[in-house]
Amino acid sequence: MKVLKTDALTKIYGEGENKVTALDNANLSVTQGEFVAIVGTSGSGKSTLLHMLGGLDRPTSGKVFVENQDIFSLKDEALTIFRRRKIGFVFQSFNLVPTLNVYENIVFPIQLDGNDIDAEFVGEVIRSLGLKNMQNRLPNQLSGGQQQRVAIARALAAKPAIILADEPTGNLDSRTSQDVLSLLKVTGQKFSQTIVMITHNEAIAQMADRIIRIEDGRIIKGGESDE
Amino acid sequence: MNKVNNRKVIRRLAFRELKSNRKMNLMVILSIVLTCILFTALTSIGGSLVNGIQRETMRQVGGDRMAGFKYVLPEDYEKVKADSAVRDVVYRIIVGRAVNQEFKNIAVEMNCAGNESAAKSIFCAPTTGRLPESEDEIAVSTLVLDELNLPHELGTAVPITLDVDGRITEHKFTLCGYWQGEKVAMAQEAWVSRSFADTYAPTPSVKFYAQEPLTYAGYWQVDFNYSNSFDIEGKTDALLNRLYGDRENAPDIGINWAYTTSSVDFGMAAGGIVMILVIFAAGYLIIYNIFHINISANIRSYGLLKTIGTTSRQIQHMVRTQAAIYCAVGIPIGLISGILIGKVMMQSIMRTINILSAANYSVSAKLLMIICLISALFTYETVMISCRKPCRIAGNVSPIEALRYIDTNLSTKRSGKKTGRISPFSVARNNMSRSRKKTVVVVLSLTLSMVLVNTLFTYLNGIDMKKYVSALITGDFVVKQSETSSLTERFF
Repeated sequence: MKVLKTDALTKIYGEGENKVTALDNANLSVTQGEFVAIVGTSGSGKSTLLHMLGGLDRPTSGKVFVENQDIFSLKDEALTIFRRRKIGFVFQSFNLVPTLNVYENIVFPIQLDGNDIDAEFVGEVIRSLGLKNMQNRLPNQLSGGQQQRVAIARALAAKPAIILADEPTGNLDSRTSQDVLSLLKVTGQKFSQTIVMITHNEAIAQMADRIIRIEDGRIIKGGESDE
Repeated sequence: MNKVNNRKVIRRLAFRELKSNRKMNLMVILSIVLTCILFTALTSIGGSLVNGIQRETMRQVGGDRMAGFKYVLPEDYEKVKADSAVRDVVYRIIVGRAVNQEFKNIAVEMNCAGNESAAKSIFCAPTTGRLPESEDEIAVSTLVLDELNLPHELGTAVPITLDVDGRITEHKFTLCGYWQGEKVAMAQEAWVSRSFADTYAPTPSVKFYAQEPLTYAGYWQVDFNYSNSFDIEGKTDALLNRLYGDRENAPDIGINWAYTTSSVDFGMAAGGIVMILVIFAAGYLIIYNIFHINISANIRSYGLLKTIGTTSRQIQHMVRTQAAIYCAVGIPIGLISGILIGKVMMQSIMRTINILSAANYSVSAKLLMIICLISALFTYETVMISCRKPCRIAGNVSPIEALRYIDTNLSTKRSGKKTGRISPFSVARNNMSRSRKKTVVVVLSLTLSMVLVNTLFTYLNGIDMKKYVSALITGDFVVKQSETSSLTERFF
């Protein structure tokens, strides 16, 4: 089943002489449970693509379907709620809420939705990511690797349709990067989670099930899933 | 979309964000306290002045009831009392005048008070002793005792020459009560008992205007209040229509002019409104600026919240919750400080206008409660209106824009390219011209605060006693045969 699909996704910044096509007719699809890496050099449009996939920014033209829902047909408020329920994010800069402790950060999207916390599932996610003993700590009391693990736990806890990871190891040393990525992959498999990761690092991309290459805003390889 | 219960988590987040930003908290709370102080002080000074002027006028008028029926019979009293629109109904029975030789400088009315409230309503309730009960008892003001050269002692024998519609009789009463006489009052009061009134001024059998010639003894003065002082004349007309239908049979009425709008003139009201608007504008601009600065500083964190699924409405709710928390802290401090400052300023005004009795120029507990309530509401609304736009900015921030946010709309176009030396001044000037709207708002808020403080000081220090008094009197001095000094004599 295709969880994520794009249709001629295009994003143009500026006008006239200043016009920059950041994303040009990008078509890709991702199936349920897949771990996909989007690889490209700096300025290739991979971050723009991720922002479109996550509904953080609207395209100039084209569509994005998440579980068959055209996300840009939704108004801003509905799109935010859709994002909260269906898309988990892991950012390079962790983006944890600094005033909430580890546990509160993890369950925050669930609580924003007014849902009861599935304590068993959340507990399992916390254990899997090795966060059990640091649940009461604030983000600034954690190392970079630990913060990224919290971000992964937060993305997993809401049981989204897809997790989008934007250079998740960009701020980590190589050893920690390896640990975090392994955890991302293992927990993704354990909870049958679809993951789309952006990276410029070929070695890291190799851990993915499939690699999509992007250059000058165009997808040049691996855009469509085999399904 | 299903309605979800997530207020708790938003409240928690709002509270935590506040706790992490102490400097900002202090600034916002200070601005709320300032707004609240200004409004509370202004309203309590205004309230004290209006109250004081009203009390002074009441003392000159000689009564605190809003309206009254003159020269009526007991059945009229019963009628008025039974009407649902009136309250605090009191009566006095006219007996006559005390015409002792010693009273050549003051007028002394002999009346019988229906009860303690009746005596209180014309500021003549005994503060020592009580109202008369037996026929030979009397209660008088200290001025009457002074005129008679009698000591202020209960049990003192008080000789009175009584004139009841021309019939003169001599009496020897025993003093059963007295109070401080009011020099500004038109006449001094001497209370006798009901039994004395029944003997010397029995209740007439005909209506006042049905007699020929007119006599006053035995007729009742009935005074009363309405639920509020708005349109007393209209209310009294309606009451007369209800009670008497055709106005020919209706008694004479009296409206207490202490309650009419003349006590608060148009200029005073307009000045008050302008002050309130200035306070609102100053409070708005200060609070708006601080909220705006805070939101600009936290724009990334709002973007982050948006990214992980916090809706625009939830973010706005969070900012409003923070504003409400600030109010919960700032308003009580502002109210207490405002009342205290108002009191101190009132004392300073009192020292300037020292012709007026200070006791009148205070606000009652009820009025104080109303002032607090209105001030709290005013401040709360100012805060909520001030944070409305910053709230919208925070709520509408797009996650991507938040990452790129620079606090300017970049709409300011600078003509020409200047290349010059970079100095702190040039950087400051460029910063100011980056967002002209913001510059105007900041300058305005600073200006208004100064204008406000200056206006208050100028107002308080600029009261010209001669001008103030000239509005109340026609001459510079008074020649009269009286030991009771005029209001103005002490100032010239």
